Amino acid sequence: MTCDAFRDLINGYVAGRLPADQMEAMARHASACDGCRDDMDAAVALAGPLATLPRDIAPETDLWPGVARRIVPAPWRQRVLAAAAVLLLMAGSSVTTAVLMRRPPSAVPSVAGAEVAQAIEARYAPRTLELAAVLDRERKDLAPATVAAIERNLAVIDRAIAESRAALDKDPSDPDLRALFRTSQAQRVALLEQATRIAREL
Amino acid sequence: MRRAWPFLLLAMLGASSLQAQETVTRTVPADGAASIRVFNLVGTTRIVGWSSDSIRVTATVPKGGGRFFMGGSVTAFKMGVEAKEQGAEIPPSTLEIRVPRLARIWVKSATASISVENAGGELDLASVSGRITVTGSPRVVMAESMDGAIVISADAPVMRIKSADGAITVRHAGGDLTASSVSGAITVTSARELISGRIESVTGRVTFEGAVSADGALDLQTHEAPITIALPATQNATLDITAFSGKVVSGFPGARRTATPGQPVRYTLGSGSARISVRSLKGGVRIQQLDVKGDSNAP
Repeated sequence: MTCDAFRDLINGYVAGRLPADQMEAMARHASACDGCRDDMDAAVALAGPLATLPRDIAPETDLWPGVARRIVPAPWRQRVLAAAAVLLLMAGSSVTTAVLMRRPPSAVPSVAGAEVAQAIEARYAPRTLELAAVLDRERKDLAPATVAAIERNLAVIDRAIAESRAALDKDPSDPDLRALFRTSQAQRVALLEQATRIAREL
Repeated sequence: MRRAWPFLLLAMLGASSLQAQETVTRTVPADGAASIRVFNLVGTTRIVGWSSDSIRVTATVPKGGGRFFMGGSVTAFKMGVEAKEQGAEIPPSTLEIRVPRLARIWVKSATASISVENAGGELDLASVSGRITVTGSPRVVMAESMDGAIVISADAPVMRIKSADGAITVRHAGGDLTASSVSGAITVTSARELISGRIESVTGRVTFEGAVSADGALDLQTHEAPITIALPATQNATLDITAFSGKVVSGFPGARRTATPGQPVRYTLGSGSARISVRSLKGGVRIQQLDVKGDSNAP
């Protein structure tokens, strides 16, 4: 099964409406393809709130910063979590406006957008925080210029994450916004992996 | 006699400089596909593939500052420059290493530049801020840098290239390519047909010039930088382009555009067989045609 075919059938799969052989093929593909598994997680996350929540429900408190505070020491954690704070500032940004102007968002409540973003973020958060903790321990061994380069690039990625998440919150059904958000998360993990390798090997 | 002064001065300076350097040359037998690990943090590392089943190293290290080391035999070697005393600063050193052309090479550097020429084996090259350059036809190239430039002018079937600030330039790309940066520009030129490619940057400009094979797939993505795709006139491809706040412009003659609300803009070239997917949240996208020489022919 190709990724395109998977995406075409994803809603039927989540709703359990596909024939058994297709359900099996979908599950097999999702187990082998990270990108499609993320899409499926996002679709599941989207379907859940739509089916169960009233449209005017208030967003739940984000528990993640509290959890992170307990398991990862500062200051790299602060860098990793900075994107969450920026989200608030980005809510009414020009990018979000441009997204809305270009593509009419699906008629879904904003809580669904948060759910979709959190489902994607949850896939990357454990690794991100694990690497941030390692980097925090190794920071003293890195050259100041290297620390500055890591900080600078993390800031760029965090801004991209905040902007793509704000756009995704407005239109959680858009597969391209999900892909952009997912890529930004993966890029942060990749940069942290690179930084920890430098700390370990040099 | 007066004219000879500058030459005498230069000769004295040169002699002084030579005295401050220590040059070590070693030649050892090696398997044709030996694994070679090189650590040279500061200075220059130059590796050249040759047809001999041996390794020849010429290490130039400032006298008193560092020490060249080398170990291993026949199939696996480790070499590099280390500080004479633990914790001391490692001085800038030069390593010139001749290796069997199909050797597997692994190099780590901090600020040292890494150059690999006439390579035919697998390469794993990493630097924090040094420039990385590769030529030849290695089987696999993996190269990463934090803020050094990476230039791959090699015909490798598999490439994995990653940088943060540093620019990435890949010439002669074909086969399977992944190139990723945070803010460095990425330029990929494909000499033969690309089978599978993924090129992504957060804020770096992305440029792809070349052909994608009939059943190939290419993904291009930026967060906020422009993306330019130049394809040959004979390319058969379907391009799905999503630019949320940037413009999508085609200068490709005969490209058939389909725009459906809520869907990516689609351009079809010829039979549309290759799949090209392009996404940017804030950057614009331009497609254009390559001229016969392989240079993009911007309208």
